[in-house]
Amino acid sequence: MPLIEFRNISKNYPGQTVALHNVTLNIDKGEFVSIVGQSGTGKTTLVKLLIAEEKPTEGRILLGGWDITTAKAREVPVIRRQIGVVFQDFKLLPRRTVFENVAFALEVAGVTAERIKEIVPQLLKIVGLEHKNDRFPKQLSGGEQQRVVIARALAHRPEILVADEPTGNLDSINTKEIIELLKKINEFGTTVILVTHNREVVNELKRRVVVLDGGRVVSDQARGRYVLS
Amino acid sequence: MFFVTLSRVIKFSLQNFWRNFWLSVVTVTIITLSLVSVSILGALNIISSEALSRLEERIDISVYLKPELTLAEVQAVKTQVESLAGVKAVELVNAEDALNRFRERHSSNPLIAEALLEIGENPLGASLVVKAISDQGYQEILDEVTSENFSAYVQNARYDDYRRVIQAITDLSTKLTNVGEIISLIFLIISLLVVFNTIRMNIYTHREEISIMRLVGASNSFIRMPFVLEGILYALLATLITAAIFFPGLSAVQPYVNGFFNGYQFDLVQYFTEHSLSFFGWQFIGACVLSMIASYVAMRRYLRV
Repeated sequence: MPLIEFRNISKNYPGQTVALHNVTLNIDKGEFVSIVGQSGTGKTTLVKLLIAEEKPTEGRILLGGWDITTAKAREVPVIRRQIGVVFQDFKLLPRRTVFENVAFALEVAGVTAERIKEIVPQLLKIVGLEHKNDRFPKQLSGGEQQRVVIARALAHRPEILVADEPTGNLDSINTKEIIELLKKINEFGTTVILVTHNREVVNELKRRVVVLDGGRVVSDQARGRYVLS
Repeated sequence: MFFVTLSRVIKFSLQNFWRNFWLSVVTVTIITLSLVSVSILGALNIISSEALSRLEERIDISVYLKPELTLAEVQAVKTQVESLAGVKAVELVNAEDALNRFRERHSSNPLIAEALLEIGENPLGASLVVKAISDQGYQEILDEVTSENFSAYVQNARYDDYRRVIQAITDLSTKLTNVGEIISLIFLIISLLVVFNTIRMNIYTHREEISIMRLVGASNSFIRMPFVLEGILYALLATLITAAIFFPGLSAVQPYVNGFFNGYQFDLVQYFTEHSLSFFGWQFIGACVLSMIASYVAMRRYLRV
């Protein structure tokens, strides 16, 4: 059974805007999938549907066999703890330190202070920021900020990590570092979904590539390249 | 886990309070004004109802009996009056007590004391103090005791009619209550709007945190609870401040209340100290309900979880 199943997903927004059209896609546990396409092709909509921020107009999304399209409001946090999310704009709290930003994800889930003190240093070690836990986001480079976000996304030990344009604000060196980190996380067994329009990144990865165009899946290759339609 | 979550929710609500400190101060001030106006209204009601009950206690008919009546005759008259329709109680004041009361009442007038000395003997007879079952019954009883049936025994009967005063106090109290209710209502509406606006501003200030909370899987109740608690915190502070203002205020008006009650002791501070738990408890509950309604509406409108 696939870990994630998008079954005939369509998403229409008011004003006759079709973001996704009859998308069917399966992602297995432990896969590293790049979802690519130009701006406005429905990549981010797919992410929003996966983290239950929005509901599809048609179709079903199954997460480990659980149909999340029918999930109740109180079940949404359960979904989000299973999926770590990384965005292009970091979404870090500027008044909190690196440690506190990562701890925040655990605090809101009711994890005890003692456990937080154990878990956060481990996460910061994974992303290579164990020596910067007292820094504030503005004291970090873009790549370091994104690594803090990745550490926070891993706080609940999610089965899936979704990175939506994680390198969009980064230079080539930082981009490479972040991609290497995502690969490392994937090697630990976490399913990684990388949403990007960065051709070089995708081509260097040599992993599965799903190409979206006009809200449709136009290509799905196991060891693919970023091919413009 | 429950206590860990609770402590964090409390922490977040305190952060909400401090981060928009001046807005919080304004909110607490407005709720305090509402509660002070409600408290004043409550105090006025207590004073007027106390005054009315004291006045009602004072309504009676004094039936002065002829001094030459024997004790047996006096007792017979008392029994007869007691049997009249509408009579609740009859108190017998014997001649000696009547004289003492008369002396006491006119102790500041030396002429009366001299006149009593001149007379030498007690000029007063026994009297009966008659209480009616209802306010309306007094006139009928008075008519009866001054009728032919009692003319052999009764020298004179007097009825201090406090009904006009009672009516005047009732009217005044009703007017004050109406004005107070309107003022309180205005403050309550303003409080609702201010709390609503404060929570809205806090949601706006914390929009980043809220979006991250949602992203990392915070439950809806965890996101909402700090705002609800914030409303309760406003209500608690406003109630405490109201109590802190109210008691010194009561002490300040106590002399005027004493003057109003003209010799009767009515200790406002003591009264409200004894009833403070229920008086301020209800105000706190009311303010909490008000804050929670405003918070709920603001969250429904602006907090998408």
